[in-house]
Amino acid sequence: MFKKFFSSRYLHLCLAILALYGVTWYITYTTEFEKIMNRFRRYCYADYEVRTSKTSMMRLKAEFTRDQFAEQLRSFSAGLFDCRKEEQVQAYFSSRNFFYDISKTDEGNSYLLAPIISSGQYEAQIPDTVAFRYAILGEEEIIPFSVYQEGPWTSVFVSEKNGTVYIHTGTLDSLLRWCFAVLWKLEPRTQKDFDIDDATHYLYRDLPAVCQEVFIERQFYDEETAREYFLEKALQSLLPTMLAMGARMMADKETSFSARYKYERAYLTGLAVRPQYTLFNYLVTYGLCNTLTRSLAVEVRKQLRIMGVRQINVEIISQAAQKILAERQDSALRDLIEDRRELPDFCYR
Amino acid sequence: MFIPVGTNLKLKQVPYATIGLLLINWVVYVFTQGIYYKTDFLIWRYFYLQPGEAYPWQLITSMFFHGSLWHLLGNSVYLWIFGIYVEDKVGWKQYLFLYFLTGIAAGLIHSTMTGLFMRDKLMIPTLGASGAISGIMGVYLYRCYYSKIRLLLFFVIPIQIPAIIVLGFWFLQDFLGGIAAIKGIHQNVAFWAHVGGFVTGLATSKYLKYEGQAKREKLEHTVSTRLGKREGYAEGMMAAEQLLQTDAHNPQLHLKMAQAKSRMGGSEKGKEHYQQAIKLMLDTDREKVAEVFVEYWKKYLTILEPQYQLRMSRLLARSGNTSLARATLESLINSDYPPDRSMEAAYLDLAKLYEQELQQYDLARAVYHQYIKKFPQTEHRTFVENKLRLMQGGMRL
Repeated sequence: MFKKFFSSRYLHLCLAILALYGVTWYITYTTEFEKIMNRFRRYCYADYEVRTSKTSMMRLKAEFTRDQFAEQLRSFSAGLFDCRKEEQVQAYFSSRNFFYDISKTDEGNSYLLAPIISSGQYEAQIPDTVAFRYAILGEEEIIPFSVYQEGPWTSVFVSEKNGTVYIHTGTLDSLLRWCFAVLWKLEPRTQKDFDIDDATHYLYRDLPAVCQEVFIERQFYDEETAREYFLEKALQSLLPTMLAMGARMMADKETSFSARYKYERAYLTGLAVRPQYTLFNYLVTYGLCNTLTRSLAVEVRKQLRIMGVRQINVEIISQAAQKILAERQDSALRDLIEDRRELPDFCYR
Repeated sequence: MFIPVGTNLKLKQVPYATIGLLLINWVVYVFTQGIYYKTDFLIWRYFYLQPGEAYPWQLITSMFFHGSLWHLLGNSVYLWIFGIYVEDKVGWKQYLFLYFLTGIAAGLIHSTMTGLFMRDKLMIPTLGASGAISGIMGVYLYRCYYSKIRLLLFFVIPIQIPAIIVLGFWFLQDFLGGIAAIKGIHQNVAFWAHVGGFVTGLATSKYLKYEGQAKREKLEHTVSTRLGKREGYAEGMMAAEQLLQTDAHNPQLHLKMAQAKSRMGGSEKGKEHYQQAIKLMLDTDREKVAEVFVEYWKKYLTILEPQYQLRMSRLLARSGNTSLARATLESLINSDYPPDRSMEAAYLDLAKLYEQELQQYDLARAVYHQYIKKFPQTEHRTFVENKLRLMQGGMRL
C-alpha cells in the first residue's frame, strides 16, 4: 500500500510542483523595502490618477485604489514612517540613500523619488567661485507629475533643494541609450559614419575616444558591458557642464527669480562655462528640448541660424550662451520672460 | 492570419470536463463584469497572481479570470480545440489533473522568470487560463503528434497542417515573445507562462509515459485513414503489421488487413487474416462474425479448421442463413481433416439441418449413413440407428 503510494508518478509530479514552488518563492522573495517602495510607487501614481480623472466615477475609483494602496503601505511601513508625514517619509528614504521630494499645489501633489548614486562637495567658477554640495541621482523610481502627464521633455538636468544641487542623470539616459543602440547596430567604421543624426554627430564630438573604443574598435563583445561603459563615460564627460549649471542654480538660490528663469540661467551658464555639444543639441532640438527652455532654444537657434552643424564648435556655443545670458541680465527683458513663461507644477526636475 | 478551428481526430466521448472548465470561465467572466469597484480591487489584489506577493491560492484562482472578452474568447477556442481531444485520450480525471498541474507550473515559471529577469514587474498581476491551456497543448502535441490541425487561412480558407508544425510555430512565437519581454520590450502577455505551461505539458506526458499509447494511436490512425484508401495503402499496411506485432489478437485489425490484402483478388495472406479475424470474432463479436464470414466465403470458398467451422456453421444456421450453414458443413465433412469430435458433430449437425430445417429426409438419411460408416464406434450409434429406423418408417422423431 505504502510502496504503491510512494511510487505513484502523480505523487512525484505533485512533489516536483512543490519543489518548483519553493524555488519560485526564493527567487521572487521581495524585501520589506521593495514592498514599501512598490506600494509607495503605486500610491503616488494612483494619486496622479486622481488628478487626471475626467469623470466623478473615475475619480471615485482612483481615490479608492489610492486609499487601498495607502492602507497597504501603512501596514508594510508600520513603525517605520507615516506616509502622510513628509519629513518621516523623507527621513526613511534618505536613510536608504534615496532622494525624496514632494511638491504640493492646489491641483494636487507631485512626487520624485530617485536613488542617490554619489554625492560630494564641488567648487565651480561661473566666473564667481561657488562651492556647493551635490548629489547625483539615478533612474527615478517615481517620476514627477509633469513628466507623468506630459512626457520626458519636462524633465530637467539639475535642481536645487535645501542647499543641495541634484543632478538628474535620468534625463540624459534615454537619449544616450538611443544613441548607443543605433550606433551599436550600425557599426560605424569612421567618424563620418556618426553623422546619422545630429545627436550621434555631436556625441562623437563630445566623446571621440569613447566612441572610437566602443563603436569603431569594438573593444567590448558583450553589448551589455559596452553599454554600461559607454553610459558611464558619457555621464562623466557631461557631468562638469551639469555641475556648472548646478553652481549657477546655487548662486541664484536666494534670488526672487522664477523657477523657469533660474533654470534658463543655469543652462546658459553651463554652456558658457563648460560648453558641450550634446547638451547644446539637447537644447536646440525640438523633440528633446525641455518645456522650460523652449523660448531659450528659439533664441539660441536664432543666434546660430546661419551656421551648419559642422561649423558649430564649443567656442561658438560658449559665446552664444554668454551673449544671451548677458542680454537677459536686463531686468525689463527678464520680467517679460518671467511673466510669459511661468508654469505650474515644477517639481525640482 | 491563421485561426485554428479543429483537428482531424475523431471524438469518442462527450468532453464533460472541458465543457465544465469553459462554463466556469464564462460564468466568472460574466459575474465580474460591471462589478462594484471595491470588489474589483479585492479580486485584483487577492485572486490574480502577483509574483512578488503571491498567495498560494492565486496560482489556481488566477486561471479563472480573464481581462477582456477577446482574452476569454481566444482561450476558450484553444481549450476547446485541444482540450477535448486530450480529455478523450486520457480521461477526465487525468485531464483535470494535467490542467491544474500545468496551470500551476505555468504560473510558477512565469513568476520565476519575472523574478530572475524582470524584477520591476514582480508586482504586476497576471490572470487567465492560457498557462494551463498551453500545458494541455503540450500534452496534445505529445499524445496526438500525428494529427493535423484545421486552420482558417486569412479567416476564410480552410487548410490542414500537421500539429507538430502548428504547435512548434506557436511555441517559437511565445518563446521569442518571452525573450523580447526579458529584453524590456513591453507586452501585456505572460509569454513565460505559455512557454512554461507548454514545456510542463510535454515533460509531464513524457514522465507519465504517454508515448506508448501515442505511438499505438498513431498506427491506429494511419490504419483507419490509409488502409482502405488508394493513397498511402503501403503506409497503412506497414502500420497495421506493426500493430499486429504487439496486438496479435485484435480481430478488427486482422479484418482490415484481410480486406486490404484481398482487395485485388484472393491471397494467401488475406485468407489467413480473414480466418484469424473470424476465429477471434467468434469469441468477441458474434453479431458481426456471420457477416464477415459471408464476405470471406464469397472470396475464398474455403472452410475454417473443424472446431471453428462447426461453431461458425451453427451460428449461421441460428441466424437463418441455412443455405450457407449447409454448404459449409458439407464442405467440412467432405474435407481432408481427420475424423475427430468436431467432424462427428458436423455430420450430426448437417443431418439435423436437412431433417429439421430443410425437410430433406433423404439427404438427412444419407448423412446419417455416412456418419455410421465413418464413425462405427461412435457413442451416438444407437441414437443414429433409431433415427434411421424411424425415418425409414416415414416418421420423424
